[in-house]
Amino acid sequence: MKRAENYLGKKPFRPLDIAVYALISLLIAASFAFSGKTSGKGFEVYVSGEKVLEYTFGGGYLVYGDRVTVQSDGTFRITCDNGYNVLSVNDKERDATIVSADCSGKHCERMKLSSGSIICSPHSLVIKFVDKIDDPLVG
Amino acid sequence: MTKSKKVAIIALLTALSLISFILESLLPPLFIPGAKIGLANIFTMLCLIWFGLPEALITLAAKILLAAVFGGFSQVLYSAPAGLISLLVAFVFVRFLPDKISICAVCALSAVIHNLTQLAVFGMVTQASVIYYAPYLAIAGALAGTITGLAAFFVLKRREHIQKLNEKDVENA
Repeated sequence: MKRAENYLGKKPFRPLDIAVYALISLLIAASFAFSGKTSGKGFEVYVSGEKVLEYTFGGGYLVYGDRVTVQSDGTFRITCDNGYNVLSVNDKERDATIVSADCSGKHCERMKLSSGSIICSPHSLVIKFVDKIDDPLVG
Repeated sequence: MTKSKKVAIIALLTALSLISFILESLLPPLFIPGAKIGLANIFTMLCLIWFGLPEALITLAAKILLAAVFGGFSQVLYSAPAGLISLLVAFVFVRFLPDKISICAVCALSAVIHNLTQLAVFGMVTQASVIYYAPYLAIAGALAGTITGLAAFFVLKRREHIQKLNEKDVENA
């Protein structure tokens, strides 16, 4: 356990940490340069490859089958083979967000459609724009 | 340190790593999809510092495999490459620059690389455009990594203190 002795000291940080955090800042800046928002006229929801919902921003929606129910607060509850996802739509911003889900890890919660698409692998749920418009964040 | 003591400590770190991973998976992500504090990394880091890369790889592998039992195969798919690459990055700093870079900075960089790798793997597997989340996950990784690094630092300090107390007891006995 000799290596542990190198990390013992009064303070948890060291002067050269600035170089590491500068490298992290560079990575963050580079990823901002390549990321951008996406929008579209509407979106489609697929569960296990089957279309269950078609939504047009400011124009209404079409439900296919019985997997989608509209809740009292206007959100869509999508029942998948092994769980559910709740989708909230914002017509003004032309965006949609998963507000709750019961999948393992909950990686899809807070996922926004404006990131490009929403995918919940455990539930085989895919939500993607129709007539996509790319809007780069930078440049 | 005896072999049996070493095995017991590694097993304990693995168990703690798995418990914290499972507890975190029950909670929603922090502010961005997929963002977690990564408490399990505290124990993997401690194993790397106390015992070295092979033992840390065993802890990581055991955690990923057991997490797959509880959380599904997708956990292995996304966690394994990200965990492996971030551990290797941490090993380079721990092995070659232990007295220059603090454990907080190592954990922060390791966490950023973990998040970006996991995002890249997710994008490749699902063919989805996920680059939008990259900067936010990198920021979350830097913050979470610093927190876990601080936790590991205080565990190391505490262990040193307990070791000194034990040595005093042996002298006085």
